[in-house]
Amino acid sequence: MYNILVCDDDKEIVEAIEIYLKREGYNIFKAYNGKEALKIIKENEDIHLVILDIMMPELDGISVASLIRKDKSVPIIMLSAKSEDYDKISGLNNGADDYITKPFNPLELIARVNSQIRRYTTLGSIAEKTSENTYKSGDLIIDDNTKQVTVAGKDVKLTPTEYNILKFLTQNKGKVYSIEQIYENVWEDEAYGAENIIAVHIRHIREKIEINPREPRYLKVIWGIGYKIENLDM
Amino acid sequence: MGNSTKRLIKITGYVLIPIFIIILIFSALSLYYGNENKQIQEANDFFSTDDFKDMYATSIVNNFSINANYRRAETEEGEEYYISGGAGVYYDTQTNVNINDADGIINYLSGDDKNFKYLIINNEENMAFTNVEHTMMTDNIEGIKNRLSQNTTYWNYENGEITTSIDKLKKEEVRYQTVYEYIYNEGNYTVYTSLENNLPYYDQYKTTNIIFDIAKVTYKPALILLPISIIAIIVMTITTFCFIGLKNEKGEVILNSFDRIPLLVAFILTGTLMLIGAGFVAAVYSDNLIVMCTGIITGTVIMYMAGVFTLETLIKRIKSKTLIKSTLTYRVLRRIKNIILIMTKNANITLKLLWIFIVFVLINVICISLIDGIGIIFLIALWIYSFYEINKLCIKLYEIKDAIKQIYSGNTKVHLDVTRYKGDLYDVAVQVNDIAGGLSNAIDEKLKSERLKTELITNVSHDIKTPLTSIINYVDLLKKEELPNEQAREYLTILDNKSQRLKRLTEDLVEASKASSGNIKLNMERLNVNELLKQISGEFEDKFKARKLDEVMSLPEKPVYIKADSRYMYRVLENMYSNISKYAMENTRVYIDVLPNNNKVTIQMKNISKEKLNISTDELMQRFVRGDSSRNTEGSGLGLSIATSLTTLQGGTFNIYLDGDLFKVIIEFNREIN
Repeated sequence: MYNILVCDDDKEIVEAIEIYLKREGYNIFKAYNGKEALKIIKENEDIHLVILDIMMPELDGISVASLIRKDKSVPIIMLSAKSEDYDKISGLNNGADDYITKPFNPLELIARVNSQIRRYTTLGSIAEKTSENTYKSGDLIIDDNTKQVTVAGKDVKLTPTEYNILKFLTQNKGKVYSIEQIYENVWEDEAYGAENIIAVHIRHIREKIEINPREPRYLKVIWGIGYKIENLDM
Repeated sequence: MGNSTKRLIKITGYVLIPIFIIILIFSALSLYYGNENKQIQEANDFFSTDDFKDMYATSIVNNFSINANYRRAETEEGEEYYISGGAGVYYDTQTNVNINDADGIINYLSGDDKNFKYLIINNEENMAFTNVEHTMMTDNIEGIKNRLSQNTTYWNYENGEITTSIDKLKKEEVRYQTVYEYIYNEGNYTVYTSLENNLPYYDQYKTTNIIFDIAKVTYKPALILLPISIIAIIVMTITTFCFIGLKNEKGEVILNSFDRIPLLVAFILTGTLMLIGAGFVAAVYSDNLIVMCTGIITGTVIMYMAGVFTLETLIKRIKSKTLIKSTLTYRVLRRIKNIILIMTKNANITLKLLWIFIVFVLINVICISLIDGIGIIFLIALWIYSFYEINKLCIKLYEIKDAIKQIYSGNTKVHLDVTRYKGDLYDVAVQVNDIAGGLSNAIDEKLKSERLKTELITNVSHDIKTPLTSIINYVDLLKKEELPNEQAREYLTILDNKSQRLKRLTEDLVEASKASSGNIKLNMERLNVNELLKQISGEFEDKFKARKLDEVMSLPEKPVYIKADSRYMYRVLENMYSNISKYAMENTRVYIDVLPNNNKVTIQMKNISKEKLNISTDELMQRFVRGDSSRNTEGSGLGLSIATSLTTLQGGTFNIYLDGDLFKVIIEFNREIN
């Protein structure tokens, strides 16, 4: 059983999160300000994940995150009503592994918690497991031998076309490809306008591999330029 | 270097410069003299030079020729008188003197060469001439002879024989035979001459001797002193000139009261001083060398000081730029100008102009009436000056006009340099600056208040989001609970929908506020419009399908580019696609066209509204207005407003056209040429 520390100054939110995560089988520690959170972490060595609100009395979430990071590698998910780019960047730069804005979708929160837990507990040494014909970016792994795609250890079922597109983009992760280029590379044929369907395929891929397709983590859309698989191994 | 040090150096310069000038003159003279008289380097003293011998010979001949012409004559009554052929001054005549064992006459004469003493005896006439003083001792020929023989330098002619202490004046010396012959030919004369020991009188012998002695001593040093004194004079003159007109801490030239009086008065004062000096030099003429020298030196010093005062005040006036201002003419003209200014100050503009014009015409008339060329020159100068002034005025007027034009067209950062303007234009320039500043402040205030509004909305939305999170979460939890009846489940669905809408509303509110206040950081990139539309079309493919909308997309064959922010461009088009998917009538076609021309790219979207559009386009684009007045469907009503603001921010235009049920959106951007 994994232990999760939830910290928010709003008791109802903490309780709601507790209900959701308990159903998933996690053990919950609750804190209502930054100092309490730090105290719990100090007392309990085996905390596997921290969910932190940013705006809290006593000690704010950003400070708590950077204090935890001083000696612990436990994953931290920031939870905040602040949704500006600036806030997200500052949260991620101060030790957070993920950032969820309020009001959040409970399913998304659970998915992200599961993902971080899996990553933290079982996929620690994923880098060594990569073999030939295996392509990866962060927790996204494509095994070309078995035609299997996993995201954070979870299998994803893709159609052959979707698989080919994803494989091509992952092979060339970090690079941006336009619809036309993807068509020409995947179909190995010249594009004749029928390539509109690529955009649809990519949306489907995103819906399957991303927790929140509107804010993709792996398959990014550069509007007006093309698509790319984010290189998360940098 | 402090001012007191500089002043000390300057005064030292004033003293040393004339000294060095004297050294220079003496060096030059001695060099000149030395070059003219080569013997200066060989001869031991003046008396062994050819110059001296020439001088002595000339003295003999001159005095002889003057006095030898005297003849004793007798009137018919038996009175004696003398016929003079020369110019020697008759001084004293001594008769009954034994000359050549007979009665004779001695004439005591005065002459220019006071150191040269002579006794000329006319043996035939029994007459003697001498310039020896007539005293008891020299009352007779023997006495005079004795007097002459006291001197070591002598030349005598007795009985046709010459005896002399001067080698080169001996009879054998070809060069001076003429002297001997001259005397010999005149008749039976005996001549005694000698030069006074130590030359007690100031005459040509003494002067030449002094010059010789000085030149002898100074010739060699002069070779060095001449260049040194020249360099010293140049260096000291430059430093002294530099240290005239010292500046105080404020950088102003220090002027004393003498430098402030009118230039003419200053000139009169220094001129008077100079005349006094000249008076000293001219008036003090005396036999006494010391008195004379004192007079000359005093006069020269006074004149020199007068010159220094004049020069100093002139340079100070030039350095402090008051030379012209301190002239009397300038002061008088300025007084006149002030009077005219006072007269015209309170008059209206026409009268003012009239005054200027009358003066202008008057000057013209005066200049023309001066018949000679000077009048014309003045006139042309006046015309050029007038043109220059009018031109300057016009340029400044246009500067102000430009500034006003810029303010009018929205540039409120205009600032005129008011120091450039005078009089009325100055007032105008100051006022223009004030207006620009006021407008600029007003705009800044406006921007500030917009920003504050955005901040307020953002903060409020944060505060709304926290309770909203709980509402959404607990509604979700409640959905998973067993509810007692159908009614309760229906209520819960309504709660769920409304809380979701509230969530979207708060998000859109922040975005709309930021977009309309321009509080957004844009990251402009070169975007392919075809790609963009294909991507968005792919995103909405299933939503369109669900409402049986047929998307007809017509894109140009070649890629078309615009410059925009990728994310915000997506937000604009996403809003439009989202609107279409919500409000378009089912089973209709949606037309998406990209129409590029030479410098614009037009994205055109057409669809048929399912609701009747009884609303104007202006209203439609305002915040919180939606096509359906009932507001039953999802959406915040901010979509069009956000899309419009974002498009404008990225430099595009966003327009909506309604024609019956046809809803048309036209987005236009500048085309980026490949």
